[in-house]
Amino acid sequence: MYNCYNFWRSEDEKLQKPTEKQLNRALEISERIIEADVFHVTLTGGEPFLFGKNLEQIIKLYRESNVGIRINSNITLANDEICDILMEYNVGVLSSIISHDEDQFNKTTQNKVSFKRFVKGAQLLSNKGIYLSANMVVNKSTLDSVYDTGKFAYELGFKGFNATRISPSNNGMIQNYDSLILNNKDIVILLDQLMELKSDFGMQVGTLNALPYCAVDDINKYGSIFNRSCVAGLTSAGVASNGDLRACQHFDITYGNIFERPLLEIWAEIPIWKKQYHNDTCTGCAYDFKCGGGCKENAYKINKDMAGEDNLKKDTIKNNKKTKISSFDPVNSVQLKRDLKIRDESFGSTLFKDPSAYAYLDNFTTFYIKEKYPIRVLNRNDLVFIGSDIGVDNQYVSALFATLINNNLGRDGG
Amino acid sequence: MVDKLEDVASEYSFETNKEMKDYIANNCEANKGNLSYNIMPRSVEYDCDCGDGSNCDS
Repeated sequence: MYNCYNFWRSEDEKLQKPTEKQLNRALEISERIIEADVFHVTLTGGEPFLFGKNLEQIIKLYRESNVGIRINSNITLANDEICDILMEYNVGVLSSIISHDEDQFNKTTQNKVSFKRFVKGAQLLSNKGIYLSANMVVNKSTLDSVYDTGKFAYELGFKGFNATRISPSNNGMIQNYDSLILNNKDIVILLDQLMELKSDFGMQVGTLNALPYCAVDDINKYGSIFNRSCVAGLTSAGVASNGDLRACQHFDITYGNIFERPLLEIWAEIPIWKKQYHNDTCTGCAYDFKCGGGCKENAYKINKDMAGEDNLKKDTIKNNKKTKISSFDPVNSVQLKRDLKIRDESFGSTLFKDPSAYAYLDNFTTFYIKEKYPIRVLNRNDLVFIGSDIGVDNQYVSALFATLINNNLGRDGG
Repeated sequence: MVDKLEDVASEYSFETNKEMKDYIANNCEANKGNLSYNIMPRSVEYDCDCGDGSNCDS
């Protein structure tokens, strides 16, 4: 992996482009990821735009294998050539954004022209109709500028905006982390600004780091922001440029190298972090494993123990506001979304729309959905009739409909 | 291989519902626990019935 801050710092126009060997390495990694039947990939870095027109080779490889793809970039290298590639393959971009304030932006990147380059890149991408979302890493000194930075991003054409608390750097780049870290009062200020952005501009807002659900008094106030939790070893992994497989791309614990062993073989050995590093003080919480206690990287930095407490952890939550499966009893049919993907599994299949919308299905539902997908309608009475010999009843169908509707794979068809 | 659902749809062709029902009875398993598993990655909330109802993923 490259270090993005070093990239930002370069004022030299002759930025180091990846060599042919590095491009081939990226392509080899991509082939191994595709072989593992991965649904979705985010290209990050370093700086993916440094590949220039060769970016197409990588993107094409994924697209031809039905693998979804997004790019994380600081967008300062955006040009017409890159925009054309992104447009052709319909690839969205998540850009880092430092601040709406030019001085603060350039001071942080230690580059006098980075703000202007960022604005130029954003305008170019936005004018070409490429989906743009931004991520602002927030520390004590930038906490009050979340709303203004989000508004600035909106005016530049960004459709989504994320504000993410600062995480400790494993490489020790940040020396005075303790003075930058956000506390519980700060996180409320951050989240309130996000909700204001959503309300004022209709932006899709979020935060990209797992927060303990008890970090705030009422998670329901923040909509889908608290849908996120630590997925290290559960649904995602990171591949470094040398082929090392990590459970969390931010944390440089590696479990093997995909050039030495198949990705799936290494993946099977990675523990689910929020289970492996469960914090005992979370026991009894209504959200316990769903939340996972926040960020394990944060816990490690604070406690030198990944099973320690995230600094935002407060008390356990007693009441989990649930939607009862029975509330889906009146739903007679579900209309499935378009463009769903499916991967056969030992237990049935995984049905996938995007990284935030997927579900695990047994082989009965897998069969039925494949059979009915041309019309995309699943009918309750039909399901109960057709599956009655193997125990499919109304309760089963309600659970299935809850799964599909809650996971945004379908909608109530009446 | 990750498949687009539309590409693998209608893999089977049954003349009647009875024929499909028989196929399912002999080849499929309906596992409600599997559906409960779906809340695991996210905080999508519904009441599942795996144990105490509060920690459906474990």
